[in-house]
Amino acid sequence: MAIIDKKKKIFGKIAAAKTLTEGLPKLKNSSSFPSINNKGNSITFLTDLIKSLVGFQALVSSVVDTLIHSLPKVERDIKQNLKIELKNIVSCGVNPQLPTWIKSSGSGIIIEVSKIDFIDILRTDPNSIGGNLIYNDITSPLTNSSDFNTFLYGVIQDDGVTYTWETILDITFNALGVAGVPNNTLTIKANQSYDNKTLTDVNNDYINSLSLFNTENIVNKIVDLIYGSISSTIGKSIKQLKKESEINNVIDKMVNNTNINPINDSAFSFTKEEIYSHELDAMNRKKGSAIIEVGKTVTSSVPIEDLTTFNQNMLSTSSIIEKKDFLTTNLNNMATKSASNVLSQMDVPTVKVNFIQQIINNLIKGIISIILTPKIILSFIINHKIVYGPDATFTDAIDFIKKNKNLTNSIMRTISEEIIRILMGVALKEIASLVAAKAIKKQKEKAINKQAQLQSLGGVPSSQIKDSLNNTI
Amino acid sequence: MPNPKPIPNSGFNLNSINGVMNTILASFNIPDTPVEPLPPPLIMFGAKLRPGLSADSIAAEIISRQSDAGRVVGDVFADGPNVEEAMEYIRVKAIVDALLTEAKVDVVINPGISVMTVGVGNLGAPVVSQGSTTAIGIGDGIIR
Repeated sequence: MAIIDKKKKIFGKIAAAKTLTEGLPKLKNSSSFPSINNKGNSITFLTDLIKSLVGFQALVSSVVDTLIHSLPKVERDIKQNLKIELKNIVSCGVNPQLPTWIKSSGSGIIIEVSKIDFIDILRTDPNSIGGNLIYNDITSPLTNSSDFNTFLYGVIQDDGVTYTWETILDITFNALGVAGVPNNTLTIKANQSYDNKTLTDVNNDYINSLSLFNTENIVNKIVDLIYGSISSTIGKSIKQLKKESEINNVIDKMVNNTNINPINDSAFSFTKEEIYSHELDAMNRKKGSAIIEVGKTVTSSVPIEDLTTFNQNMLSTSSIIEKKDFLTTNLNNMATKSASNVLSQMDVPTVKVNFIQQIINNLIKGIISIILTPKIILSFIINHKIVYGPDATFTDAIDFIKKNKNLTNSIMRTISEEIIRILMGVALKEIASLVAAKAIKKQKEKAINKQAQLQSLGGVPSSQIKDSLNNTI
Repeated sequence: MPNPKPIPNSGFNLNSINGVMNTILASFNIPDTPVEPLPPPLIMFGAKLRPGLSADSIAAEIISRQSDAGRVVGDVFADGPNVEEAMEYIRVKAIVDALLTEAKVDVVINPGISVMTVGVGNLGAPVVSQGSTTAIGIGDGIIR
């Protein structure tokens, strides 16, 4: 059976069960359910399903559960995937010992900053309004931060000075290039303590030293991906936003892929329609808004101030229970804000549900966008240069994903497994209640029908029996 | 680099959309209990009182209850008679006509009904006898 037919069958069963137990179904399965197509994205389908079963609050709970309880496991699994992939690069043909030129006494690896910063994160000051929502652990000085991106921003502000990351890597920024070396480069060497260790030791210890993301980062990133709330404030260029839209398009293609084999290279080039869609998306994000359809086309946005309030709330406590409450309250507020331009009050619940659904649907993109920042790209480019030579590099984020398809796939699978596990739990619980109610109704119907037939056979007039049957339904 | 694990395309593996949908579809399946039989004597006497199927009565019942489901009753639109109601009659009539003219009930009588017969003895050879059942025969029927 085709995927779309199976999806329709499930929605049909739910509509039938809801009609039998509660009356007529309240949602249509046309434009209300964007997942009714032949695409293989389980998450979009499950969010549509939960939306049809229970609606807004259940979706909010699913987001909150994922973002509060599942992130540590997702981070652990992603780190494991990163280490495996780095080990695979190294085992493809180099001596496992650390090359002399990377050791503390060597010349080091020279990397242009632009080649590890595909999404221009290092152009934003961590202490700015936008920077506060992009970086973690913003310390003074920044080089004391436990977040590598914040640390690296600090390194870049101090031309020619070497800073050490967690006694693993020594990093020096050079604004001016000499002897053929371009401007704005980083010289990276293994710290002296790693001179007698292997490349795998450096890789594993470096990945272990990183903090990949937290709840705030992910919500900030997703809201920015949808509405451009941060991008419009920090003045990202249309060109940069188009690049990000291309990355999201590639991730969408990978998520929607239903084939056994990973997507082929054709997925990394774009049709005219896709290019137009990237431009449109970039322009909307540049304006800090998204376009939504609720009968009419309406502009929707979530102001950066809402994200700032949310981040301040989350940083003010270490209690998981309080964090859950803050997240729930702030998501509700942002959902309400996203519906503020809607003309008819009747459309407000739909827009609010769509906001939460978008947060879940964009979780994979949000997490992968955070992974495509310097903290991760740096480790891959170091290994890439060791294996393929000093000139080896990734031209952009798309090139990185293309050359590391297995990594992207395994990260996507790690994230989707967690989200699907939570969404399935909610969906199955609700379906179980619906099916149980349906079963009880069926048993009652059998008993009532038997009673009616007994009365009919006993000579009670059919009009009298029908009246009594109609009153029991 | 090693090839990634293939994505399963069926069964209940949650890594694929088919696995997710199969799991959900399976959760709708609940075993159905058989309907309880009616007392045979009541059927024997009560069936004789039944008026029989009438398309007119059924259609009238449905049309009169349309408003319960939120549908418009009567000729309220400027474009003429309510075709929905006419369609309802056609639909019911077709179903009732099919039942009355095409349906068949196959009945199986369970073995073991007591029979009292009268006949002349034939020294151990088969006897031609006349008789009647002493209890109501219970059978199961299916409509086809």
